Amino acid sequence: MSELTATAGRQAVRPAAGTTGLVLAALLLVLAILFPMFVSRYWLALGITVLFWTSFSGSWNIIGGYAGQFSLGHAAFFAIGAYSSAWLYSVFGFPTLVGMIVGSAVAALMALCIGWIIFRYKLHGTYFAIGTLAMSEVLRVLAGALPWFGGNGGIPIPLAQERNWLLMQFQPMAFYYMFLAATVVIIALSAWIARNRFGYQLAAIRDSEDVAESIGISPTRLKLAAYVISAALAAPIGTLYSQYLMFVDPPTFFGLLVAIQVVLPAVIGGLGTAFGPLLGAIVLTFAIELSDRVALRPGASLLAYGAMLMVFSVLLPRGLWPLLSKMLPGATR
Amino acid sequence: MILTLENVARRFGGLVALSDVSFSVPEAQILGIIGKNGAGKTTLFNLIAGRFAPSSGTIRFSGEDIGGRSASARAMAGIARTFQIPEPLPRLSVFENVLAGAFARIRDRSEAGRLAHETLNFCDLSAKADVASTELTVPELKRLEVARALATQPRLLLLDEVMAGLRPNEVDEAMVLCRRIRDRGVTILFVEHVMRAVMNLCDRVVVLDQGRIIADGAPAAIRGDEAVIDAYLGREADA
Ligand SMILES: Nc1ncnc2c1ncn2[C@@H]1O[C@H](COP(=O)(O)OP(=O)(O)O)[C@@H](O)[C@H]1O
Ligand SMILES: [Mg+2]
Repeated sequence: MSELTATAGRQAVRPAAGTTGLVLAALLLVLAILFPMFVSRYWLALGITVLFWTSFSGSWNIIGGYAGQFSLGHAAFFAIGAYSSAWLYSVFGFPTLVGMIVGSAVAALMALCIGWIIFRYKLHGTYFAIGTLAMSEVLRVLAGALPWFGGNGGIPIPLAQERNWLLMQFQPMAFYYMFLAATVVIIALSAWIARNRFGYQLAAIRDSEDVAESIGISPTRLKLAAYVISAALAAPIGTLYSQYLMFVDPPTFFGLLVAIQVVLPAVIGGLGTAFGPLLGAIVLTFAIELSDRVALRPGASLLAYGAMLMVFSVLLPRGLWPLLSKMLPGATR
Repeated sequence: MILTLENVARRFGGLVALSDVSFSVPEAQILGIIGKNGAGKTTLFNLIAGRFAPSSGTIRFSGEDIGGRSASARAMAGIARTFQIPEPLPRLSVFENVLAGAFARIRDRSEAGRLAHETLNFCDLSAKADVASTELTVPELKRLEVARALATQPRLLLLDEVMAGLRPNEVDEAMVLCRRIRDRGVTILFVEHVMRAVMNLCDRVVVLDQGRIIADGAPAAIRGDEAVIDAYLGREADA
């Protein structure tokens, strides 16, 4: 190595990874923190929707974007989080925060078991998508069939008798900040992953498993790690969302609509980018608002989502973020 | 001996790609492997690097039987390879491709970055560090293959036709690069059709024909070997 070290000094150092990007992100965060103080309830609700989809899709983006494994069963982990906290609270009176942590652990364990089978037997691409979707559908049917978990009607979350933040029953403004916190955590984690060993190894797997193996990466292990992280992040967002709605039921949490909708912000914004899901969630939320104004028939949204997914996959597979980041100096992946 | 193959064979369905291949390589040698297209050279690399398992026979690396280990485990043990048809990671830059290799043994980002830059420098790719890997020319792609493999800090390097398509002066540069890699103590298995490079570079040459070894010896001896001339070099010699 001594020969190598001798030439090292001559190499120009790359610019520090996006100081400008960091400043822009901080500015964006300040705006997001101030936002609820100046807007109507309508805009606050829109803000919550955006942050909810950003964080949820951001959690999917770890396995779907960074690792390139197109999961269609992500709703399952989201629902596991929602059901864990709602069930533990309504049946046993466990604080929601405890249920949220339990839900995250259960989702992670579930991902570990399912992922181990799926990745060991090398289910790729469409097979992976269909396999994960099937897993989610089985859980949805089970949740609907078991009266123990509320059956098809789901579980209404009983109103708390006392004020206790551990029960996580908040005003919309507080939910806005909870989802903002989740968004910040997931974007920061994604940016960290992208810049470090784990991210580059996932990128190698995403591009070519043969090459990845040739440089010492075990695709099974790395994909499993990404899957478990994705699941563990989706579950707490399920808890938050169920507290926001004050109920859980199979179609809202396990449904096909959610399974596809969670994929969209990342695909629209940019797969495997930290800010892609945010960009995609903003675009998607406003697109849905506008289409509601022109009063689409129910069921049309699933069709519209499918169409969007196809259009972006074919015409703009890297999403909108690369277009935007070209205009922002210092912003990287 | 860093690498020893004993009676290694590989079949693809009815096709026998390799049979009864035995040889060993001492540390810091350059062993050339030549033979016609379809002779089984790349298959041999795939068996050593662990992409396929041998149908029979043993492969030892530093004395250990590695025949049952995964490709990634072999890379971690110190076997690196290039791909005959270059396989850059298309969504990563040239630097990032090499960085991904450097992460094999280094966890820390800045330390891995340093090794990646040093390796790019070593392979004369520094000027292209921030270029998309898909924008490289063929000679650059071949060097990127070498750089990414080298960044894993291997003890054994498998080079699969890294000089194919290079101009004579580029072949000279590639030969210098190979010698410098060997001088760092890395053993090289060198599959190549460019005879000038094989004859100048290799300490020893193994000749494959239809999956079998038909000659094994010093470059000068191989050159005069009747069987090799018939099977590969041709009567006019020096392809
Ligand atoms: N994955 C594979 N499946 C089936 N046949 C293969 C495979 N890889 C190589 N072969 C066959 O094995 C023989 C040797 O190929 P190869 O090792 O690529 O030769 P070389 O690198 O010497 O040109 C060829 O007949 C080739 O078609
Ligand atoms: Mg070949």
